[in-house]
Amino acid sequence: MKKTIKILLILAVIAIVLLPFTIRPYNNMVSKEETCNQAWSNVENVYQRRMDLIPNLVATVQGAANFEKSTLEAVINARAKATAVNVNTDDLSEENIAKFQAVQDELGSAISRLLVSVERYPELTATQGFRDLQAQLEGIENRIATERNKYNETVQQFNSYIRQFPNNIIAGICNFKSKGYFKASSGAENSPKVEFDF
Amino acid sequence: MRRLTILWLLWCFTITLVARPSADAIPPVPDPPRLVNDFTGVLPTADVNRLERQLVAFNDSTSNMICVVLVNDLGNYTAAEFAYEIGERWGVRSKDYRNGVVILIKPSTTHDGDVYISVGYDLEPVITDIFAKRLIDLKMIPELSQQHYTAAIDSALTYLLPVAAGEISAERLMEDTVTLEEIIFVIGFAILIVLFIYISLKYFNNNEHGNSHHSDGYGGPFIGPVWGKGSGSSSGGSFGDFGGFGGFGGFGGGGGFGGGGAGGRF
Repeated sequence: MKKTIKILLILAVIAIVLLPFTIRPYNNMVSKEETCNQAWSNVENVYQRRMDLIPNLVATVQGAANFEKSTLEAVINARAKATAVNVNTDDLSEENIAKFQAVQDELGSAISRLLVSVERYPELTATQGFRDLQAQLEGIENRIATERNKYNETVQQFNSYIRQFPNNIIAGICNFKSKGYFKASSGAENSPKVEFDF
Repeated sequence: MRRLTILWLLWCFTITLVARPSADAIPPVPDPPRLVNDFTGVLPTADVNRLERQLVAFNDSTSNMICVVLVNDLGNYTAAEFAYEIGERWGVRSKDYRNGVVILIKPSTTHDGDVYISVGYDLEPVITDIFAKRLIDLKMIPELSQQHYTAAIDSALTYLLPVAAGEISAERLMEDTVTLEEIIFVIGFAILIVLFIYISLKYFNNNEHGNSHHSDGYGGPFIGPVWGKGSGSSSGGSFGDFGGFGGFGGFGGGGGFGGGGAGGRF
């Protein structure tokens, strides 16, 4: 009994001595995590901008005579699915990011297919309204790529920081979990290629 | 032994050849920093200098930084990525705002010309993708397709400058940068200096009122540097930057671009 008290006392002293050394890593983790959250909200922002653009795109394309309904519906459905998946900054885990990326990439490829099939309707593609939409879509794709890269960079810094010794112990105690990345390959394949040939 | 040395040298040589990073297409930050950078030679020097003066003056008066880059080779980058990388790596923005614009032109040889306008975060509200796209399609491409590079840049600037100045101007900068604390600090500092002069004069007058020669020799250099430094940093430094040609103060830093903008082919 006395022995356990002694051991506990020694442990307490060690903990008190070590405590100051944990403050700086802890604060660094907090600020790095905040940077990740900021980057993530920028990512969500640009994806949201794309979703906001879709009603406009649908309305513009619908006007064109005898346009294939199925391609249009694919976009609408993919958007509905993408709207349903939101990732909270509290849980930027590998699975959540992958899920988010999957639905957004599906939406991206649906838009891409729509833009390809629209090529056959020059009376539509020649309108200023459609060209403006195309310019916006292209800009948004660039923004998505940029913000995703920035997010991945901040996550890489955070993850490697919390996995270093002794930070990993502090991270374990304080419940800092490593965050998920965007996978570059699937995004690059499916993002709409909006080419301009004037 | 000599053979070994030669082998060693050869080995070092091949190592350097192999280990050298593949040449990146993005040019390094120009030194001295310039806003108009023609790496192709399609712009006449007089036009480069005139555009540089115009953009430096615009940067001085509104803090918006518009950077024009002409290159022959985009490497593995798309025009959008290339313009973004230039903006981020060179740091095309002011210190307080992410208000940079990169106009990238890859001259055409066989209808493979590229043009891209990359817009910094804080100018995205006014230089929208649609605006940039229309500017390129309607104003720049007609000139570019006839190899009129100066005219294309001029017409782009005609529309970009007023729009950018309308969003971020020197007045707004003044509002934001001079805070109450700074004013209090300056006034407090001024009071301190006056007090310091007053006390030192009084001190010398009281202690050595008979020997005015000595007090001059002491008080002069003592007060002199303080005064000279104060006025030098407040007027000399900032007015020097407004001096017109060659006065470009340098790039602002990274983090200014988010992929906004538009491009076209010609």
